[in-house]
Amino acid sequence: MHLDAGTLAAYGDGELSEPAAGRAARHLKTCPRCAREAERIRGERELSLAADALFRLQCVPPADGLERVRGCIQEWLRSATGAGGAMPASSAAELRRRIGAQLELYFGSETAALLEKVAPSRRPPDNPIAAVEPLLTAFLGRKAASAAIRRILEEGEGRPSLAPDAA
Amino acid sequence: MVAAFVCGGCGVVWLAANHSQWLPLFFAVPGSLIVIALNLAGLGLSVLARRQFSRSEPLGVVWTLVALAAACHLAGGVLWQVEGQGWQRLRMVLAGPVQSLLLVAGLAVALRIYRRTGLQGRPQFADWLPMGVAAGFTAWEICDFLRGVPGAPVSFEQAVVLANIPLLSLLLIEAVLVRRFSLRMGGGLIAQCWGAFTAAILVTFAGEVTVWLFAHSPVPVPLNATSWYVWFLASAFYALAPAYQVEACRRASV
Repeated sequence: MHLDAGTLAAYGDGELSEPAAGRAARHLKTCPRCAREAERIRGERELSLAADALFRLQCVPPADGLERVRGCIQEWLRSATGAGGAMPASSAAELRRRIGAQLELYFGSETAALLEKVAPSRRPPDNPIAAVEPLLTAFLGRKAASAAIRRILEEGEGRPSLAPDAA
Repeated sequence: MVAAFVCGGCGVVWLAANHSQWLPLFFAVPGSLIVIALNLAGLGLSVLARRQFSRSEPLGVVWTLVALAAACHLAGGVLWQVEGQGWQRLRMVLAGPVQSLLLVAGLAVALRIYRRTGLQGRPQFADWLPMGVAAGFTAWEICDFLRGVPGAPVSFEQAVVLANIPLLSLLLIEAVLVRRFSLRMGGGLIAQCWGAFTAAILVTFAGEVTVWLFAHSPVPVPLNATSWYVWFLASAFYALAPAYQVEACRRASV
């Protein structure tokens, strides 16, 4: 007995009741087919949310850029990872690579590794941007930090998508 | 540009070893012009760096203090050309203790920002050497003053030097720590910014020590002239530091 797509999507969105979510979680631990399907649904949802977030970022006025970017990122990550879920590994790896490249340019090649080591308590899980944002803001200013974070999230020429299928 | 000037100047010093009257002319005209130009560039770039931050941002406070210090540095370079005891005293105060105090306050805020990020490290063995020299030189200078003739009046120049040396030592210690923290993160543009500051402060301190050494032991003029070059390098490094900050912000914003 497998879970249908509607139940998996509702589970990913955190819309199932507590007993139903518990049953679904137990089933996903033992059923590789349903686990793969849940991952695929989450990836598709993340892709559409990322596109939506990027569309909003392009409308960010420079004056309050960072606050808006921060809001979009939080909304995107909250939606992308679902209730207690995690971002797909391929997307997380691509995001970390982009963050590492930006940190290396401004601070140096060791910064990303140092951030992972020294501030685990300050870093929200599954949100690597939240860990680097204070650093970028402190040393580059809000306006430049907002642009740097936007660059991390944006897809451009030669940049792979943050969505798992394209990464 | 500064390297070419220093090399050219060294050539002049070497050629003029038996014609020391050339040296004051070399330093009075092209030397003064390049120092003022570098100080002006330093002030302009510091103001540009300041404009990348809002008033409420901590690094904005740092760049405000650095820009004020750069203004004092420029005023010192200009006043050097003005005759009169009053102007020279003003130059000594502005380009001495006032500039150092502003930079000490600025680097203290920068150190606090590094501490807040949680990325600060511990000083390494190599860091203790300049910090030890700075502390030792300050202690020696103060003891030297206290050992002077008891009851003798303290001149204005002595008072300014005595006020500036401890500030410069503190500044050097702060600069070495900021450099260590930024080096720990790698060699990015921000690290190069603080590296240029450290180099500027180190060169300024070395210049002060050299002046003190030459004042305590007679040295022939051509050799003495080698100590004059450090001020060009210091001005160049002071101008370079905000340039890295501006470039980092520009690359992020493009």
